This record gives sequence, C-alpha cells and structure tokens, in this order.
Amino acid sequence: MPSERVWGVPVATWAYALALVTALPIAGDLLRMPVQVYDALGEILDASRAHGLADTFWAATFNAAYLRPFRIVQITALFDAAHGHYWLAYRGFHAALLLVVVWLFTRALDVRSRADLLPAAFGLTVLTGIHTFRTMIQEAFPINHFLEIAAFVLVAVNLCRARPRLWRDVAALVTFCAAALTLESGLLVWVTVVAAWLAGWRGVSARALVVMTVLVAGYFALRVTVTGMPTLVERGSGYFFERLEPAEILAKFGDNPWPFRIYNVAASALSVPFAEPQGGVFGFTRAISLGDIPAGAAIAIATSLLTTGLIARCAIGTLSRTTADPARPFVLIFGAVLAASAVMSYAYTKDDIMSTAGVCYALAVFASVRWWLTRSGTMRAPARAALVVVLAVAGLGWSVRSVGIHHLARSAAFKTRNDWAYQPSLWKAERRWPDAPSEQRLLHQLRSDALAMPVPNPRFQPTWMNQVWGE
Amino acid sequence: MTRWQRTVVWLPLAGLLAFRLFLLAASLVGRPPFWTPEPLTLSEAAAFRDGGEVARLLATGVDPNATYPVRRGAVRGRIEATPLEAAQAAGRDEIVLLLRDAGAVR
Repeated sequence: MPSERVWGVPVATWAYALALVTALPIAGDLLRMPVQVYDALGEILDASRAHGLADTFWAATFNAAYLRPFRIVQITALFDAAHGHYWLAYRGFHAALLLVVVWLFTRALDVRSRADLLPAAFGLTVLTGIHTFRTMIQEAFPINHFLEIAAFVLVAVNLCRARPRLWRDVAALVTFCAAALTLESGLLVWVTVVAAWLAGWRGVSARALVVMTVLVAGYFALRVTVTGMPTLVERGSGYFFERLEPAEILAKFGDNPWPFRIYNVAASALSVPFAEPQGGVFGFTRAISLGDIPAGAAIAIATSLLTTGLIARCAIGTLSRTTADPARPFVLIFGAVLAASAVMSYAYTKDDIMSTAGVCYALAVFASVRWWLTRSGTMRAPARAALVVVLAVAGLGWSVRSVGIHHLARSAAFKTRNDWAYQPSLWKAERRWPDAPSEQRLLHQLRSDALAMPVPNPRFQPTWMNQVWGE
Repeated sequence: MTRWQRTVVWLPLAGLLAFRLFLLAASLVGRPPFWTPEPLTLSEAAAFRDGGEVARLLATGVDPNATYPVRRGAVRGRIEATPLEAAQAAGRDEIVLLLRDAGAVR
C-alpha cells in the first residue's frame, strides 16, 4: 500500500521526522555525558591491554558465569578505532546507537496512513518515557549493550514483517548470533522471530527459524559445558520493600533459591506494564504505606495502568479473532519478549534486563492506540469521549515521563563527573592504580576529558524535578 | 473520532515535540536548557558537593588556600570561605580529601 501524503509529504517521512525530533535531543544529552567510571573503566583498561580482536573474542568466551565475547570485542574495537579520542568513540557510539534504535522502531511501525501518525507519536513518547529506557541512557559499560539488544530485536522485527527473502533469513541468523554473543538478552531475537512467525509475519522463513532454534540449543550447550550460569551471589537484587546484598541473599535463600527466583521472575514481569516494582523493589507501595507518595511514581503507575489497559483490551480483541489483525504481531511480540525477559531475570532483578521488553511495550502501545482509533468510528459518543479522555491523559502523563530523560541524563553526567574527580585517590587507596605508565596516561586523559565537560550542578535545578523524574 | 477529539489527543504529544524542537534550537544557539552550568567559585563547588568542578578548578591552577565569595546559603552564615571550610561545613569528606591532595591546609 502506498504511503498517504500530508501537505505533499508522505506520512512515512513525517513519522521519521517525529522520530528525529524525539531522538536528536536525547542523542545530544549523551554527547554531554562523560565516559562512565563504574563497570566501564576496567573494561577500557582491559581493551588497552588486548592483543587483537580474535584473541579478545576467545579469551572472553571462557568466563566463569557469562558468555559475552562479542561485548568485549566491541569495547576493544572501539578503543582501537578511537585513536585517543575515547570519549568521542564511546559516547558517539552510544548516541549513534540511540538514533539507530529510534529509526528501527519507527521503521517497524510501518506508518503509511495519516491515521497512523498519532499512534506513532504515542509509541515514540512511550519508548522514551518508560522507566526501562532510562538505563539505556544513564549507563554505558562503556557501551550500553542493552540498547544494542533492543536494536537487534528491532532488526528482527523489521526483517519478520517484510516479504520473505533468502538474504533476510541470513540477516536474521547473523543478528541472532551477534545478539546472543553480546548478552544473554540476545536470545530475545529468537523469541521475537518465533512470536512474529506465530502471529503471521513470515519475512523470516520457517527454515531459518529451525536453524535459529538449533543455534539456541547450541548456546545452552555452551553455557552448561563451557561458561556456567550466574549464581545467587552474582549481585544484589530487590526483594519486596528492600534491596538485598549478595551475602543477604545467600543467607536467606542459600538452602532453597526457588522462592527468590520465582519472585524475581514475577517482579520483572510486572515492572514493565505497571511501572512497579522497579529494580525488584515495590518502592511506590512502600511510599503509600508511609504516607509519602512521590509524584513521579504516581504519574508513572497511572500512565502505565492506562496504556496497559488499552493493550490488554486490544489483545483480547485481536487474539480472539480468527482473521489477521495488524495489532496482533505487536501484541504477541510484546507478550513473548516480556515473558522471556522476566524468565531471564531469575537470578536477580534489574531494570536493564527488562529494557528490550520496554521497547516492545512501546510497539504494543502503538498497535493498541491504532486499534482503538480504528474502533472509535463505531463507538457511541460517550464511549468515544471516554476514549479521548483516556488517550489525552495518558499522552500527557507519558509526555511528562519522556521529558524526564533529559533531567536523568544530566543527573547521570553529574554523578559520573564526580566519580572521575575521586577516581585516582580511590584506586590508589584500594591499590588498584595501574603500574604501567601508558595505563596511567590513559586514566589521566579520560579524567581530564570528563572534568572538562560543562555539567550543571543539580543544586540549582528546581526541587520538583527530582520529585517528578527521580535522580 | 471527530477532528477536535483528535486534536485533544494530539495536544500533549505535540507539546512534547514542540518542547524537543525548542531543546534542539536552544542547543544550536549554545544555551541548552538542561545543560547550562552555573559558574561556581572553588568554595561554592566544595559546598555544593560538586567534586567534578572542584577537581576541574584545581587542575586549572586555582589556589586551594584562598578565600572565595560564596552565595547565600552555601556555607551557613558566611559570604566568603576557603574551599576547605566550605567542604567541612557541608560534611563532604571526599572533597576535603581532594582539596588536601591539592595542598589545601586552611
């Protein structure tokens, strides 16, 4: 179907314009943030010691708990390509990756009619407003691999919804391999392709799906035989109203980890559609019990309830029909990715792990808003008016959440710049300061780059910003 | 859905897009709204737990033992203070350490 035109311009172009206006300011924020210290500096130093990408790949394959060689290879490749401009390489890559994700997201919507523009704007707002998106912006290790996984999954969505071609099968398999060897969450590419195939999108053939399934089996075989799985003491995790450190988790669940694992899966599954719990902690529920309701959490939960309600009714409508419905693949993909991401969170709860499910939630919001707008033509006036109110209130709330990403990026930049200020004395006190002069020079350069960046002090921002958007 | 109903739904989303266009325009003219820092003296940076700014100012050669003006509320009851006094008044041990490493003694 050819694209409709608005003021002589195809609506698809308008959709990409909306995407660009959404993504560019956030990419600009990323370019104002220093390279991260925690979970990143060690990786950069390792990259500076690496002897070629192939050696790096094989060394990273044999790890005690994880199979993420492509992750390490990327960090090393960017380090080599930086030629001394490390901030530009890592933050530039982060910003470029964000633009790619928003472009792939918009492409997956396949906006062709004027009526699709409103759902597309809604989807983009939810994409950048959901709490799982903040981890894709605030953190980088020094690459944000969760943003990469979202990109891989969106590549899969785009491949699946197109016409079947052999090159698409090959591209889907390559995408799966790259994603699975970057992070465990890369297996979501397979989940996406299966869900899309079941929903009727056949851009990736059954043959390719079978090959991908064999690769998934091979992946698990590798995990069991070569690397092993994360243990209870891998890292801290939320549990109802508190955050447990590894030693506390071991003391509480060392004999029987299953209640903890079941909690992690359930909490993670709830976190995307309801914005609570976050990081495994029911913070809003605890705040209510203390009589101190944070405005930001209230907005987040209210808007999530509204859009999840829209998705739920759309899902019932579209999945109960025997004929194909354009909303069905989006809803099925979201459900499958949400469930799979929740299962992957069995060892610990972390919003990052659910970030791709957050992206798929935004796809489902797009599809369900379009579904509701299509239905609105046959609704009675009161029902239609109620729908207008729900969409307008949800749109307003999600817009407020989306603006918060700029505030959160700035907060992260302030914290990171401070981390750099204290870094040399901290590492010297911990006897981690490197002996090699080249590594010392590298640390000094990264620190100088970070300190030279103009980052505002949060002291001068209005206090309501932290209340609405958090820190 | 009628035209005005669509407009009502579009309104907040269009407002967000307009805000982002404003952010882009402001960035292009060098005044990004979320990213324009307030100039601080070394003592103010120390009082406002701005370790990054303290380290940057020290690296540019600012004297860590001099007395600098501080804005109202930065250091209780003072209109000027040394960076060390400001950091100690704010209870920021890490900034005290940073200043002492740079030679601050008073």
